[in-house]
Amino acid sequence: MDSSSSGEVTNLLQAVRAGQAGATDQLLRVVYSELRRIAAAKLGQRGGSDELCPTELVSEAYLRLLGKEVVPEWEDRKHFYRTAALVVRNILVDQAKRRGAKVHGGKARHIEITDQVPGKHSGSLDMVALDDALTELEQIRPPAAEVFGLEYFAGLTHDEVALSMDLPVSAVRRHWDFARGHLARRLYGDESAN
Amino acid sequence: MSSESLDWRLLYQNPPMNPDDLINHLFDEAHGIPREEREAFLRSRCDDEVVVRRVLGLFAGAESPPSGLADSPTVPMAWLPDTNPSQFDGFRIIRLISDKGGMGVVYLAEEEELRRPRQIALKVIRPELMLSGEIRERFRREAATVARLDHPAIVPVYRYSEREGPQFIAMKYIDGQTFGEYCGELSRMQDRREMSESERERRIVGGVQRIAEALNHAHGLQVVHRDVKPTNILVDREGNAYLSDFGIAKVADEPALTATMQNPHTPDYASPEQVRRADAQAARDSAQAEIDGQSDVFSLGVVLYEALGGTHPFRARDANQTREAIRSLDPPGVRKRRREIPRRLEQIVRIALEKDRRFRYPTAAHLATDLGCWLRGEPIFGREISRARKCLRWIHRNRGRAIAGGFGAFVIASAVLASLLVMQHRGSTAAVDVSAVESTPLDARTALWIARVSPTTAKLEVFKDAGVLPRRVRLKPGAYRLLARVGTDGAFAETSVVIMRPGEDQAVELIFTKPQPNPSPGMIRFKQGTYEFGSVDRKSLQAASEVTVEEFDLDEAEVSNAEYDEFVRATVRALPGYWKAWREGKPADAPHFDPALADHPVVDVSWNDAVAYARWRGKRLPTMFEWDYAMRGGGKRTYPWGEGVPRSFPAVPCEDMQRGGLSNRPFLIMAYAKYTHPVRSHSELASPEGLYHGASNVREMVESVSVSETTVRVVLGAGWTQLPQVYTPNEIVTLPFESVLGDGKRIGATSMTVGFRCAKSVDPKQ
Repeated sequence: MDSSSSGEVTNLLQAVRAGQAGATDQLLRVVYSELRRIAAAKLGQRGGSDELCPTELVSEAYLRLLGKEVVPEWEDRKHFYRTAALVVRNILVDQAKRRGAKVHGGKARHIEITDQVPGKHSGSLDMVALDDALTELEQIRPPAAEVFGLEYFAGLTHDEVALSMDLPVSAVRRHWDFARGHLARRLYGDESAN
Repeated sequence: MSSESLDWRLLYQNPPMNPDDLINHLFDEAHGIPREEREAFLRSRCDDEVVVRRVLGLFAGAESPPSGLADSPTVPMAWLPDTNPSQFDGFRIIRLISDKGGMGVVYLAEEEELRRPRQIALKVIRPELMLSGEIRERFRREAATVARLDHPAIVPVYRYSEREGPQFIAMKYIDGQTFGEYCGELSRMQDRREMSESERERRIVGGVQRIAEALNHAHGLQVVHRDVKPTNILVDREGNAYLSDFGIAKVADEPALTATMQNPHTPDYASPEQVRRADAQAARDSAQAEIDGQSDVFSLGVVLYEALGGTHPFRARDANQTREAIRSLDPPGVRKRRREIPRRLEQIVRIALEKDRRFRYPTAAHLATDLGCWLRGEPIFGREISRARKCLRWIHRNRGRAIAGGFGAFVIASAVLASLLVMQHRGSTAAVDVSAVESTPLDARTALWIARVSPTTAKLEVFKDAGVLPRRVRLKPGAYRLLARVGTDGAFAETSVVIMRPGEDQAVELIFTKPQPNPSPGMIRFKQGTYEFGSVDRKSLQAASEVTVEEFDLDEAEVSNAEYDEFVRATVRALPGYWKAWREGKPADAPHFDPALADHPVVDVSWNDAVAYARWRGKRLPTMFEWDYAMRGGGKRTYPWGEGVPRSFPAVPCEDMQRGGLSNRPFLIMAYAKYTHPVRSHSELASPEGLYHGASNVREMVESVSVSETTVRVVLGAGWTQLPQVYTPNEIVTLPFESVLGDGKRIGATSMTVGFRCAKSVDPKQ
């Protein structure tokens, strides 16, 4: 990534901050294609492995898109990570939907009913259900949804989230716990979560 | 509890708290409490068991989350090769056609389930754009917009899907090339002498004319394309041009989406008003002009110029300079680029590219008409526009002299502008084919007049002597009465015609009748008279004015279901909705409607169907002046029967039923059967002259079109849902002429409370 692209992202982030029409979409496109580019490069390096860790991708994309800037404004960082989290969430959900569509002949979404105890779940999550539950959480407790997105999809730590959301770490932790509690309940039912 | 959490909670502290807020609040409070004391703490704060258990559940979930939630997710590598999908919800991808579109990637695909699948074009939203709600909405709108258009030169949409994955639009596959490629090919053929220059021009003009017609169709449905350019015009192997990509089209009555893609990087085909609008947006100026169909005309003009001349009229080194050129530079005539181009074609291109909207083709139909005239070797209409423009420019340049020279120049300019208006009308008309039923003995003296129906006076204003029958006349949108007379015995025919939009061609068959010394059975004659229309009213829209009504006959009663059925059976018209509702589940040979209602007034009929019925009977609808004149004894009475409302007035549904019921169709149909009466009943409410139901039973449509409004129809009288006390005689109530259905189709508007009766002139004056 050359410096002009990194400058472009900085300009975009400023435009987002200024609330300029279309800037958010533009940023999404840039972040998305950067994530793709990095993933493709990794795919070439690794050969065998068929799974990627998106949070790794996000931090690498951050370095490449913004790392050369002197010290990015914390608000710019927030917009970047928020965007990245949205991109990753969307990729995962889209991927899950497509797999679901293939398995189930494209008819209806399959929701798995499990009788396992929480904490002992194995295998992957139902991403589509997670997406729905997260959308619901956005209504109930918006900061909790945001904290969860930044940590889960963009790989930020509590401290980093606290910094970019301008919240004390203790509050971040509370939001994080609330989010996980809510999602566990939505994904695995009231009874099992008790 | 630290202070920051209190800040956050302040948002939720206004009682009464909804359960979600309460749970949020309790969760935060209990967060710092050790796990074993938590339950006791919560019970001390809240006695709602459900809420306590929910909060405890949240903690349980948070402390031992499912493994998937504990670690960060992983993405299967499979998401990477998505650029080459093999299938989409029922379609198999054959190959990529284009990935240059702004919002989507276009694939050639075929349906999976058909035995002999047809090829279709599949436009799939770009994956990175799926994240934007606005773009998803825009994509959805594109599908909805095109679905309401139906024109041979607009690529039709077969299906839209957003289930299971990315949104896509399945549309007709045009096997061919873009207009730009097509023109390049024509040029090469001409260079190699495989095609004559004039043939090259004719093909280009033919293609652009077709697109102008498509645009005109879209504009008629309030859709402005806003992105007309060579890559959005497809040309099939036969050389037919199609307009595609309504991705940023604007539908007039929909809220605008913000301008994400509205100002594409290349402004090459933008109109001056689009450029100015973009400037205004950049300057955050809220006073922005609406972009209308005339802007598409300009863009198509650019396409035409480039196709004919081989060079873009405005393109400059960068986008800003191009914008500046569009704003202020008059491009050299296209003959400067290629001197073989005929002068008249150059003129058409120049008028399409006028920066001043007054001198540009006012509609795409005008451009299409002129291109058609050029193809046929006929004179073009654009001349008048050119003349007016020259004249005004001259005045502008010589302002001092023009003022010194008095009004002369101004008068000339006005005259030219007036001719410009006439020209506008010529280009935006509909054809009406007027013929007579075969039994009419037509002779050389059969003549046709066309009168404009004035909305404000009873007088018909003959504006066109259209000559002998049968013939085709062109009329601009408006309301007309066609009058025809057979020379020998004074037999005449008359009917109403309303043209809503240019291009809405109609055919009218006239029925001639001899002037009758006496009214035909079922009709009552009214002598010529002058009276004050609107004099008795309390809140009439129509100012009191003196009108003269010529002698005419009026049906003594409304048209009944049985009478209307004769017409339906003879002309195979659609059944009124409540007839269809009654027939549901009955055998095909069942009567058309409930026989018990044979003598009840027909309702739920559109104005056009009412006019067609009257025409079929050799009659017409009464004008609002005639109807009012007849019902109220030349303005002398408030009600047909006189003054005051009689005690015996038929029942109307009580008010609360009206309130809940007027939009409830099953209720309306049921109530119609119960509350209307046979058309010749309640003679105590009839007028002394013998007219039934002037202020009861059903409201009635009349011929008159409301004050300069062709989109509504005037309805008079009181219907079965109204007490006559609450209706104002000659208060003008209107019914929309058309309803737009969910799929964008337009149908004549109807109402369960509105019927009609017919009239007939005794001897129409032309």
